[in-house]
Amino acid sequence: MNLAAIKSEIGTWRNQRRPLFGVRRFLVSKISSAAILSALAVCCLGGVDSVAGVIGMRDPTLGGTLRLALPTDVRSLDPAIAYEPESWPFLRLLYHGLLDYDEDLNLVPWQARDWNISPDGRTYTFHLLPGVRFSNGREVRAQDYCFTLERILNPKTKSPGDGFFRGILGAKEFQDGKAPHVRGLRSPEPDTLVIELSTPDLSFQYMMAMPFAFVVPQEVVELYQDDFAQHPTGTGPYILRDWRRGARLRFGRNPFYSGREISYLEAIEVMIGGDETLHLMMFERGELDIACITPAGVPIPDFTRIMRNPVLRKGLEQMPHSATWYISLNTELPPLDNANVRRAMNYATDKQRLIRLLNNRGIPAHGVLPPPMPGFNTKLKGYDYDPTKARQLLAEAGYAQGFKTAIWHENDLASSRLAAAIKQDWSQVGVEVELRPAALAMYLEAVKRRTNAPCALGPWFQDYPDPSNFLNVLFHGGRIVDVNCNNRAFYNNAKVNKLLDEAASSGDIERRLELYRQAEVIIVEEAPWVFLFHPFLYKLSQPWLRGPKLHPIWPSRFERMWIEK
Amino acid sequence: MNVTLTRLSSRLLWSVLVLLGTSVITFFVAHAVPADPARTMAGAKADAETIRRIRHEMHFDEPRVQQYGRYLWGLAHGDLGKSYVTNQRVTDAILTRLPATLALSTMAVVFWMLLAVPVGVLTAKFRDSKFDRTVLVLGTIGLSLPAFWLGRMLQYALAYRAGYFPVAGFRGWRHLLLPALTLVILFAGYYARLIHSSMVEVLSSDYVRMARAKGLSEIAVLFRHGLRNALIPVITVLGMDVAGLLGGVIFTENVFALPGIGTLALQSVFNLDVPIIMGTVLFSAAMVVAANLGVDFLYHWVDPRVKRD
Amino acid sequence: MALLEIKNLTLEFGSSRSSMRAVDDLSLEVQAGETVCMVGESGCGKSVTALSIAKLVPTPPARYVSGQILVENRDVLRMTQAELRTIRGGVVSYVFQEPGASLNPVFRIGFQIKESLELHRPAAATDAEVVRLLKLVGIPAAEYRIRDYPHQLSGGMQQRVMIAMALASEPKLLVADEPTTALDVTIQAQILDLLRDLKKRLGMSILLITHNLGIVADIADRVAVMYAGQIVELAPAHALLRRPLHPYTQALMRSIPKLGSDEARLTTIPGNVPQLGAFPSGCRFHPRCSKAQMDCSENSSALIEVETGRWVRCAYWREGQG
Repeated sequence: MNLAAIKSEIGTWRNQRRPLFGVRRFLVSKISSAAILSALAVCCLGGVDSVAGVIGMRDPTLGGTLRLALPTDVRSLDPAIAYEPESWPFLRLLYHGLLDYDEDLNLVPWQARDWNISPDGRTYTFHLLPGVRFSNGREVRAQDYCFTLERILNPKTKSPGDGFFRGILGAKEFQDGKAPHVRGLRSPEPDTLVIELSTPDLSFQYMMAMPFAFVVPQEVVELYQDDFAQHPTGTGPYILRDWRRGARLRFGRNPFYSGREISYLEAIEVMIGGDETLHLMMFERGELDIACITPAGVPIPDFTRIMRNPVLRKGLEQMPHSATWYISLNTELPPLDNANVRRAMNYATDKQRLIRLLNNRGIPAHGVLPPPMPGFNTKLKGYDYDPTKARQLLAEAGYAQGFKTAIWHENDLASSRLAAAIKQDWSQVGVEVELRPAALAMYLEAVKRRTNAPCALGPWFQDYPDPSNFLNVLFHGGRIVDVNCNNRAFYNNAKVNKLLDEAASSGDIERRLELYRQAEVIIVEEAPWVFLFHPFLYKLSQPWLRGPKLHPIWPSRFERMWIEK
Repeated sequence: MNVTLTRLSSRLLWSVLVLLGTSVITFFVAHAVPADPARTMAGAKADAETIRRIRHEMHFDEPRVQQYGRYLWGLAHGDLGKSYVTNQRVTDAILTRLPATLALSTMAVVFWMLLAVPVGVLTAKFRDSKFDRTVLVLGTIGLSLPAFWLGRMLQYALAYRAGYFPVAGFRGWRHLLLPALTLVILFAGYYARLIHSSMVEVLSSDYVRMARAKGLSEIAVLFRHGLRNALIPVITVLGMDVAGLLGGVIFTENVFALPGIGTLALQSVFNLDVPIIMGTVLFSAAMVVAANLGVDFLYHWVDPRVKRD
Repeated sequence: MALLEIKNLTLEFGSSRSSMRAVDDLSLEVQAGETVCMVGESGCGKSVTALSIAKLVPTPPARYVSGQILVENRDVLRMTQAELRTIRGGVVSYVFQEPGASLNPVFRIGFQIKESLELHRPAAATDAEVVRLLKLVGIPAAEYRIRDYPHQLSGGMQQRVMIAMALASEPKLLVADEPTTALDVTIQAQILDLLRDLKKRLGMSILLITHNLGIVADIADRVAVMYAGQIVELAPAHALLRRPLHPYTQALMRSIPKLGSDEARLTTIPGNVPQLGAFPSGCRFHPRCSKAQMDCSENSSALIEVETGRWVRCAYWREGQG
């Protein structure tokens, strides 16, 4: 489709709103009745399973407002700062970047014409797509990307994502204040961006697909400083119309958007407040178009009811989530320093039962990496439920009488249910568990502190589809610190560390995956975690809402949805 | 007039001390919770290095008292700080939430007084009648109901099942009706009873007899001579309740997802967002203090017998 | 036609099982321009009778058993609320015992007086008229005082204001229930002077309730002495005072302390006023009567006109003379 034609189409539509909509509606209704008739005809002639499948191939309609709800306010719409799964879909409305994922999780150019990585894996070169504009009308230059990435590294920005970009050459000197700019960021041409890393790193490409790397205009950031989050200016298809903090968000079309995909929706409205039960009630009364835009999708207590309701069930989509639920076992605190004890805890846990407690919304985990992750090892056997073997291993380790321990967890419904069931399982093998529920802030304080929490229950969600996102972050001994440590098992195995380092700096994709596979095998064998399960991702939407299927990394792509009335 | 001024200034001084005391207690209690605000700002997955930098930028590595001093300095300049979570100015956060709470409170107070005043007056006039006894029972039930439960029940029955009201949110005044109804059920019975007791006392007074003897209609006797006096003690109670409402009707706002001060306060506690916690607590305390002052002065205006001293 | 005619009024309190008669078959007349005093000890039923004239006694506890109260020949007890409201203030005005309590504390006195005007003489409902009324009752600096609240005035002033309020509606009958009892003696005299003065100038009827015989001497044309819900003697004032006929009246007269007398002790009436519902049999006064005869405990007497204009309820009144 011709870009100019689309733009003029949108322009005309905007100028002639109602009448055109009416005409379009009239046409659509005529076409739809024709479609139904022909579909019926085709059905009668045999060979088509569902009428719905045929009707679904209608043209998407322009216009309409998508109504959503969030339990708590988005923290920030500044791509350098926002790091919650809830805010990313909205960042994506406002901002775009150089790389995106396709339906098969391959990285493809987005607002770039093309890109390549040097053979040694140290230099990334991007050529920008021409004619891309910010929502203030200015055209994007490569220099803007240099500014964006440097901003993330700047300590004054307090970006939670600066860790992902520290691998850029000169980043450390810049952060320590010894250099005015980051050496490794260069824009030799207005449309060429070159990034040099200090060590080769094939996973860096994924960083460029994270919202941290979505481009921001320098002059707007410098104008608003800390208030930039209230005045988002990006290259995405939508702009922020209204943000009543804690009350609602409203997005409208970006008049300067020049991307390939058409944005059908006229506006997106997000109500802030209420919990998921409330949102489901509103959804059932037709006040929302998607029930819950959190990964859980549907509150646990209502799940069975939704599944039994044929109308609601049709709007429910499901796919495996790239996440793993686990219990980290603090390998520095006895008796969990004993590998046999840890293996025993794995055998003692009935994972199928846990999944049933969550209405069968997952599959048991045999390792660290979740199924959608490249490098997922289907051959890993993991630990089945075997309490006899658990008791045996405990006795061998000298804990025939069992021992006392504590499991920390967040105090949401899912964690609480799981923790209670696990406590029961473990008591069967003589392990007495004290449950420690806590609000998120306190939970993190406790479990990321060295020699503090013996066991911590929680999920780990993928940031990007590379094993390093799990293995390096969670199991590398070199990353152990006294406070704020993400290696919550405080696991330190020299062999594993070596494998992880080698994999991270390898330039060969196959070799990387092989090394990661080896590392994972050792990790599973040493059991610094109890590997629980991989959850499913859900989305419950109204029958009139159409759009792309669920995506493991970008589950909600609002800018590609449309409303059929 | 000078007497009033000195009274006013001494009361103001006390109010400031009260607020200061509140700020000290809240500050140190909030910081006593073992959680790192830098991590709240950084998010669950940030690494140690990031968090260390944030701690330094935000002066969290300074001693507590010094941090409190900074806060007080800011307070003196009208700066309540910024939210750790959203980076929004605390004053802005509170001011943007105020309309919802204010609208809900106003609607609720108006409706429950419109209900309580005639009911209170009439049950006093027709004391011990069936009407009076029914109102007593209903009122006692009403004020004993837990706010959260009542709100949910009304929401479930009238919004979700029957569809008479929107379920939640705040898009227009219609969204305030059900939350206001919750508050009315909770408060109207209590106020009707208050007004009833006060009216009963007033109706047995000599000046009411005098009013009747002058030939005034029963309406004028009840509502002009009677109610005017009966409301005097009720005003103190109302003032305090209004202050409490403005500080944030936490349960009701939460159930109906209204973006008011109550939800702000609740969220800030879960997130351990200390500046917002401080802000909402201080705001609440300020409302109570203001209500106290206001009621005091209202008393003088309303009851001429009260001496100004 | 008398301005006020109370005919056989009977008023009870309590349920029909345990009723107490506060007023028993009472009859009394007040002519236009006349001042009648009702005298008796506390609890004899005089206040209730006075309040009944405008039907101001609340009728859940009280019950009108029988009788009529005719004001300008219309029975108050059978009037509708609307009719009553024309009587109240318009024909009959009240002045009560505690002026401070009878004035509404939250309204200015000017406002309260104006209220009466607006109800009964709307054309005259102006500040000027209020000031005139206040001057009439002798309040100095009346123009400033209309903005005062009741608590800013002394007891005597408050009573004057009440009188002004009562007069505002130009009533035909002023009912004053112990108007001076709560005031000190010097103020009492002033108020009485005022009432006498007003009576002369306006030609108003006054029904004045009191237990003070001195006031009776001062102002009354006729006196009715009440005991235990009944009138026991009814006579022109100076006749009664010079020559009381009923033993009770005589006892009352005797108990007034006399200046210059040598008596060491005050004469009292032995015994106590009987409680409602526990009236003695026969003549209600007989247990305390110095002239009681044997059959006084069985037979009660009716109110009989023994001389022109003189009524006594006693079989042995003659014996009391001298």
